[in-house]
Amino acid sequence: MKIIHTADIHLGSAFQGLSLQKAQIRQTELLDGFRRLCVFAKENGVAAVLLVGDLFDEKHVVKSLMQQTLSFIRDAAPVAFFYVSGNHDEGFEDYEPLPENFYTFAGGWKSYDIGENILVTGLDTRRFSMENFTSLRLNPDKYNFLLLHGERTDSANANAAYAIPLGILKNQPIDYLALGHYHQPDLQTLPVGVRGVMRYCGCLEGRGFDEIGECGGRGFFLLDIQNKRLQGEKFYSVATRESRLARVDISHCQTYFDVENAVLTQTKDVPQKDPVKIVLCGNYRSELKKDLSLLATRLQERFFYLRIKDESRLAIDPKDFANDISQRGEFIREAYAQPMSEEQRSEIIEVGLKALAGETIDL
Amino acid sequence: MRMISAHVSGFGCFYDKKFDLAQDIVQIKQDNGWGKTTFVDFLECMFYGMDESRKRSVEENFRVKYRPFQGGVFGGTLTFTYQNQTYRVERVFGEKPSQDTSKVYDTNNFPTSLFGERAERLGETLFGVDRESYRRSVYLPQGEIPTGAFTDDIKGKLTALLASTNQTDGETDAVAILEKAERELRSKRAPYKGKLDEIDARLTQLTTLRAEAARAAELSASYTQKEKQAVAALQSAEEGYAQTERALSEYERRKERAANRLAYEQLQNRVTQAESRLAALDEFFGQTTPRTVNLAGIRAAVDEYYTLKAEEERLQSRWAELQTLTNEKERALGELAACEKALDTFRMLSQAQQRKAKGEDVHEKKENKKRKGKRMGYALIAICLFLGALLIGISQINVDAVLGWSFTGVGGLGLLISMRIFWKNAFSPAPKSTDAFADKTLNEEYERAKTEHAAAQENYQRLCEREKQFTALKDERAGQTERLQALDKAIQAFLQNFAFAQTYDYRAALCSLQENVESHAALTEEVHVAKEQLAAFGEEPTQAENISEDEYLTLKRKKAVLDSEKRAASESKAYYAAKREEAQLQAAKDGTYRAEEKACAAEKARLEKRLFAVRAAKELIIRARHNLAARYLTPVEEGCKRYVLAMGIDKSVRFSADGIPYAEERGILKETDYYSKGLRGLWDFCIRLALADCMFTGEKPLLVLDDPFTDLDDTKTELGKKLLRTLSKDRQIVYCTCKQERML
Repeated sequence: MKIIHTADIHLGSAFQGLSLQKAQIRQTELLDGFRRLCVFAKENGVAAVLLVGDLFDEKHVVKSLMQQTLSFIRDAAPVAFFYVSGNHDEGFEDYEPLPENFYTFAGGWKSYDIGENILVTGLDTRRFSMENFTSLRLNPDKYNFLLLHGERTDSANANAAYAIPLGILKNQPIDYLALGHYHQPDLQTLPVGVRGVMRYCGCLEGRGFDEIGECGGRGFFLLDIQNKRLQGEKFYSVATRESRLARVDISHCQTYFDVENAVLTQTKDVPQKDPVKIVLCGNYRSELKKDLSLLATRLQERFFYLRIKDESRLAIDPKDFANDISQRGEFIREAYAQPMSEEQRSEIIEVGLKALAGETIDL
Repeated sequence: MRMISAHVSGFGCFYDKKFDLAQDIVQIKQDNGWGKTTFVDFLECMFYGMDESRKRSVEENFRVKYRPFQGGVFGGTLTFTYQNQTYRVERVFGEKPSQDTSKVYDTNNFPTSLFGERAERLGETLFGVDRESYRRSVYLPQGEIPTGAFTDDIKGKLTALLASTNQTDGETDAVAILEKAERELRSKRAPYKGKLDEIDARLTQLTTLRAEAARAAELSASYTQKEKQAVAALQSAEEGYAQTERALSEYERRKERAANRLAYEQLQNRVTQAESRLAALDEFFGQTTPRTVNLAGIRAAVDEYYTLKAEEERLQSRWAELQTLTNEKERALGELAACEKALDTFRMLSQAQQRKAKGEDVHEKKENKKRKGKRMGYALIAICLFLGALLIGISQINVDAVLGWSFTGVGGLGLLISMRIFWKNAFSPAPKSTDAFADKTLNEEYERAKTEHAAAQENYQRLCEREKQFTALKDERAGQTERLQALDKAIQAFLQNFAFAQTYDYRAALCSLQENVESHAALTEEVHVAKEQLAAFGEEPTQAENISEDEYLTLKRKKAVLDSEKRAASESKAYYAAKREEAQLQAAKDGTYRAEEKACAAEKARLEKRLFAVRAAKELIIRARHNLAARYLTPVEEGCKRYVLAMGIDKSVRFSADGIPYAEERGILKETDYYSKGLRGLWDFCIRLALADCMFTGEKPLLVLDDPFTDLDDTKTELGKKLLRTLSKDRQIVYCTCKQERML
């Protein structure tokens, strides 16, 4: 039996920071990603799709989006969709009618027998409690899928927000703990309990730069369960766009154009369709004019979306100014005489030197 | 530190040139354009290496400016003593800093790293200041007062000096830039338009928007609840409505059943009655099948019978009439004869009269004339009456006007009549008489006789014609009688087949028969149809329940009420659904607001850090200024006083707390603006000397003076020279001039 494990689709995300037009494009791509998953499931004979939380980005979902989502699910029949709500969405209690192939876990632990001795059990995130976790009872004779959206913790404490206390669950006959919440996938499963495995499946489509993972890829897992055993698994990447991170060392740069060239060199392999976050790092000389706004203006058309973060530091050696009998030297000496963090000091010196040089201060 | 010699391999305009610098005062008397600045810059490059700043302008970029014109080695050597040791620095400058080579050799010509492996610390080691400070304080170019207006405060001078700017307010510029940046971040004046102010405003707005979204979420839940209630109410109303409709349908069915039952019963009654009547009719018809009754035939026979009978009667009556006619004919014949006889008589008389008439024409003419005269008389009388009345009327002589006018009217009328008669008689003479007899009576009798004769003759002829007609009828009558008898028999025989209740004449019998046949057919059809209708019922409809009109009205009213409730519930549902959706849309925006809030908070944090940095930098720069001023102000003042005294200026310079120089003359402080340019220049010179003394705490650097006494009088010039000679005891001086008399 083929089963898809996916989560954190976050339909209806606002995509703050993008222009209205680009935000709409991304929202459509997000929804289309889910549609393609549904089509894939139907065309490939998938028996069940496990939606482990945060299907929507908000508790309150616009009616048109809800209808469209449910229509995708309905059209994918006879594929069964099993859905637990996460920390962002709130379930479908007030919405009718739900498709017949759509199953929820409202009200507490709920289990569905999907055939071939496979049981799908789940609990909505808002029902997490010590009481509920300790009351779980799974049938050891079945292959047990457990759907939970939250933060796994090895402890037996379920008091933290969205905590999944593996310490409590470890004695349950869990075969596959399908997790949701983290947007980076566990390409390799981890052991859980006495006989099972667990993983976070990540999200279908990256939405922000905080989701840039070292693991790479956004998509879903296709599992093959035969004779109550996980015979195979495959990760399918379906993301339309991949958020990229480029760290650019500007220590060697002497002019603005050196900085620009360094950025272009670092991002030459980044496809134009992808959003890019550029982090300037290193220690730059005081004569360098970085002009980040100009950089953003000149480069933004090369990518779908561009964000620049400046983590570079002004290269100042106080010893160089020890004999500088000037206001600048005195200023540097004063700056080093004050107790503050290096980051603060660096910024103060950068601002002060620019002002002493008669240059406008970048805000 | 003392310079001993220098060799320029190639530096600007100098090529393979040696300089003997072993004097305390190295005097260079050369014309303008010789290369004094080039020489000074060469010395700087020897002490500090090539300036590695990435200045693009030729003027500021030594590497570009002083590349040897003729090519060759770019660099040179400088031999100097330091701490009683002699050293030689050799520097060669390449295209790029990485290509520069520098080395310091000791007396024994061994390289030394005392000043750095590549002599990078030579200048700082020798003078204790960096290149910029050295540059600002060593070279005093001619005519230029780099401190700006002398009235500026010493702090400004020091700042300008130490900031290496030509403006006294170099520090102020930096502070102004920082204050501008501060205002751009956080404005102090309303309307607050700093970026942080704007972010704060937006965050406040977002808080409000989020609160609204949260409220909308609550409203959404409330509307959802109300919508559910409306749905429940609608369902209830629909159920009630359906129930009422069912009740109404049931009522209709019951009513229909009742109607059916009634109809059934009515049909049954009809059938019963019809069959009963049919039975009676069957009895009437006996063996005869009603539909086989040839009504048309019997009708025709009866009609014929009665026609013949009437004909016979008519003939019978006419037969009598014939007799009468014969009698009349004879009588008419008699009358005709009589009339002819009378006519004959009158004819005879007429002949006699004609004879007489001839003699009566004359009589007639006399009569006419008499008549005419009478008429003329009447006319005349009428005219007189008229005229008389007219006169009376006109004159009104004691006569009533009405009477007068009446006479006039009568007279007028009489006049008209007379005129008519006159006209008639005048133009229409009396007609001649055409009578056969002069006697009128006789004539009348004659005419009458003629008329009677004509009538009698016509009557006779008519009677003759009629007699002829009757003769034809006679034959006809015989046939008809026979036919009549036959018909009578046949009709009787036919009618005997039916059991008439009473005796009728044939016509009545036929009508009765026809009625019965039609009735039988109709009843048969009626029974047939009724039976078919009864059969259509299938089984006999059950007895009808009580149908109450009140019940119907009650149900209708209830239905109307429920319909109204349904509409109200439907509208309510639609209203709350729309409201819920509106609220949900509003609530759904919370995500957008939250994301924006997060972004704004991040931006605010970043800008606040920036603001902190700007404010801190401003404070530190001001503090640096004060530090420098505090460090140098008093020593500069002391030094300045010393030098002023040495220059023989009786007006000492004192500095106020703010560093503004005042000339002290007989205990009175006066602003230096009151004094001459030369004196102010001299004070400035003394201040720079004093500043240099303060700045160089280690070895005093050399002083490069470019004709500093051009504006001084001879006495002061001599004093200045004397001062320089004194200064040369602890520092080397390079003194340039273009005038022999100003040589030291």
